[in-house]
Parts: sequence; structure tokens; C-alpha cells
Amino acid sequence: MDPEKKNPLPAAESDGSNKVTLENLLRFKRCEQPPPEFWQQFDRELRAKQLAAIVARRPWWTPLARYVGVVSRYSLPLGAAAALAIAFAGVHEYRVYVPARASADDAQSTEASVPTVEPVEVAMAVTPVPVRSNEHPNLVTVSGERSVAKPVVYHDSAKRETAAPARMDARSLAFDAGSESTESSSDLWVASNLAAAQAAEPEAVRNLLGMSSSLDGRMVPAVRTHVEPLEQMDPPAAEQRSRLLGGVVPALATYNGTVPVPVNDRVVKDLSDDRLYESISRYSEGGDYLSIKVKF
Amino acid sequence: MASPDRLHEADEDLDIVRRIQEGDVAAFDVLTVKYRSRIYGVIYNLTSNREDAADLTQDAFIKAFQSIRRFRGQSSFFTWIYRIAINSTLSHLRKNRVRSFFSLEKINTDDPVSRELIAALTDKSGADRETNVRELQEKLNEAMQNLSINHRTVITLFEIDGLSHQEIADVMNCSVGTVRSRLHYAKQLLQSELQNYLR
Repeated sequence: MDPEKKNPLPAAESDGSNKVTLENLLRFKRCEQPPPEFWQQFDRELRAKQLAAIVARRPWWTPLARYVGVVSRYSLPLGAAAALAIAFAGVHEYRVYVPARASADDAQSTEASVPTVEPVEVAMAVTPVPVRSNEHPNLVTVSGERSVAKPVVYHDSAKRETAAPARMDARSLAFDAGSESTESSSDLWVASNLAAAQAAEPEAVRNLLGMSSSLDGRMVPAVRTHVEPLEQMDPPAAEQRSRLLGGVVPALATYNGTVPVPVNDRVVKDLSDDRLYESISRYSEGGDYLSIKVKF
Repeated sequence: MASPDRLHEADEDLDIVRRIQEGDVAAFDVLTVKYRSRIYGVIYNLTSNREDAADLTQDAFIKAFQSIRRFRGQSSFFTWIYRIAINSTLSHLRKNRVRSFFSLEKINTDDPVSRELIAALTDKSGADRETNVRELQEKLNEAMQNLSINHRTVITLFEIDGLSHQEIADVMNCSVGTVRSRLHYAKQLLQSELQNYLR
């Protein structure tokens, strides 16, 4: 309120008997009363509402609303309790969840570290070899078509005193051939059996090895010479280098004279005969090839 | 501490309530006529709107009528229906906090209190007395509406309706100390608002 504003009412008499206090002003509000006719209308409306309240059916959730109203008084402690419960549940779930995830990761890493060995079904094209069971004591005839060696006793190894029966199991052989560094006892056992059989019956063993060649060459991994796979391949860098140089130096378009690399046609077109003749520094010829060395 | 008159009044109200609970619905009219003016006055001073005050007063009596079977007599009927009325009014004020406009009753100039006050605030000639009284009424209601709901309720129940601190504490469901604190703060605010009328 503006302090400079003048009092809208005239000043009271200064005798002290008419002192205006806040209580007097508030008591003044008691005089704000409705006229008597207001109460007649008030009673009529109240009677109508009362009858309507008696007739009207209260909804089914009215008692629930009353209980909710009671509960709402304790909204703060209930809310705090709910927040604590949610936090506790969250922390509890988190603690449970972490080991589960870790164990799953461990399981996955374990699975990743262990090489998966797919079962290889090898169709054995076995050529019937007539082998007499009494020709060699270590060979026995199985179902009339397959010859299997008997167990051999190893005299030089304390560990391998007895050997299991030789089985032409392609699955186990394939697994053993794949693991070069870990030659199992079955590999050595098969190799020794084959050596013994070869010494006794070279013809039969030759036929047997001929049969084994049809088994992808992995039947006898002990005698197979290991060749590094990357050494068998042409280095891709050399081929790529030849292709790149071919764009610049047409004479080097071929690599080793064996792998034809397409020469860039645009370069050949732009290269004149005189320049090509002058750039030839050395050439040589063989039986069916001609090598030209060009310098630019 | 309640006065003996209040205690006697409470016993009478309790008897009427027992009759209503036993099926004498017409007995409720006795309580309505007895308390309608006071309930209306409280709600009017809280809302400064006579239409809202009339509706809220009727709603308070309807709620009391519907819930009269649950009244256990732990407090007086006066305190109980005051609490219903004030809770309904506070809920209404909170819902309509933005929309508030005055619809004032006329000042009863025949009342000795108003006559005395008007005589103190006007000169002897009585010039523009009606205008000045109307302006004072508007300023009073404006100052009341500038108070918070709780402070307005306390000052209304104590200064205008004449309830004791304990009765106000029972009605507002708070402590007596809280009532006193709110009353003191509300008076300070009103004095600062109405200082031009105080002398």
C-alpha cells in the first residue's frame, strides 16, 4: 500500500475513546450478514439437496475414496517408504543381475576359447580288399569288407602298454589331423600299426593306403608332411603390386610370366612406338615365352 | 478449556445427533438452523463471495447429514461440522486459487458494533459515510484475501467468530502453538495492510 496515500476516512476524534484497532476493524466484518430472506431460500435449496442426497445412490467407490483420503494424510511417509522400497529392490536386482551377466560372459568366453569341432561325416569309399585273416596276426576282418588291426603292445613306452582297437573312425581322425601339435596316442597307434602292417603285407598296405587317399589325405596324419598354408599361396601384395604397376609400366603387366594381368588400355594407347622402342632395355626369350624389360 | 455454555451446548447437540442416528431425520433441521449462520459467516469471510459461501454451507450440511451415522461423539458436533465446512472451503479455495472475486454482503448498520465503529471512523457530519464504509469493507476483504489460506482461517475463527485457540486447533487439526503463531503473523500482515485505517 502506498504510504503517501491519505486516509480515505476522516480522522477520528482525538479524545482516545474512539481508537480504531485491528480487532475493531475485524469485528466490523461480523456486520456483513445476509438479509433474512436469504435464509428462506437457503433452507429451500438445502432441503432439495438433502432429498437428492437421500435418493441418490452413492457410488461404489465412495468408501474407497474415504480410505484414500485417510491414506493421503500419510502421503509423505508412504511416499518415502515406497521410494526406499524401490531403491532397495533396484539395488537388490542390480546385485543379482551382475553375477548372472558375468557368468554368462564367462561362459561365452569359455565357448569362444574352446575350438568348436563340428562332427565331420566322411563318406568312406572303401574298396573291398581281400584280406585273409590268418595272413597277419594283427589284421582282422570286420564284416567281410574292412580290415582292422588288432591292438598292439608298445614296448618302448611305459605309458602306452596297451592300445585300443584300431577303428577307422573318420571323425576322430579328422579331429586329430586338425590338431597338428597334439598328436594323440591314437595317431601314433595307427601309424605304428600301419608300419607293422606294411612290413608284413606291403601289398595289402598299399591297397589300404590307396583307399586312405580317398579319405581326403588325412587318414594318416603322422606321416603327412606339414606345409604352411600361407606359403602355398601367392602373396596378394605382389599381385596387387603388379596390377598397380601395370597401369604405369605396361611391360610389367605380367607377373612372373605366368599370371596374366590385364594391361591398362589407356596406357597402351598413349604409349607411342618410338618411346616403347627406346624404353626397352633388355629382353630375353625362352621356349614358349618372351620377356621384355622396359625402363621409363 | 471449553466454557460451561459450550459444554452444555455440546450435550444438547449430542442428544440431537443420537436422535438422527436412530432415524429422526427431521431433527437435523434443528442443527441446521442453529449453526447455519455461523457456518455461513466463517465460509463467507474465508471466500469473500456470498454465492460460494451459500453453496459451500449447504454442501457442508449435506456432508454432515450423509456422515452423521459415523459421528462417534469424540468431539462436539460444533467442532465436527466446523471441520467439515472448513475442509470443504479450503479444498474449494485451493481448486479456485486463480479465480477469486468479491461478492460482498451489505453491512448491517443497525448492529451496535458497526454503529460504534462507523462513528469512530467518520466525522460528526456523517458526509459520504456510505461510500467510506463500502471502501473500508472492500479494503478489509482485500487484506483478508491477501493472507494465506491457513492464516485467513485462523484470523477468521478467532477474531470474527470468537473461537478459542483450543477450538481452532481442534477444527484445523493442528496444535495450539501453531494457532497462536499463525494468528500473530496474520495480525502483523493485516496491520501493515490496514495501517491507514488504524489510529
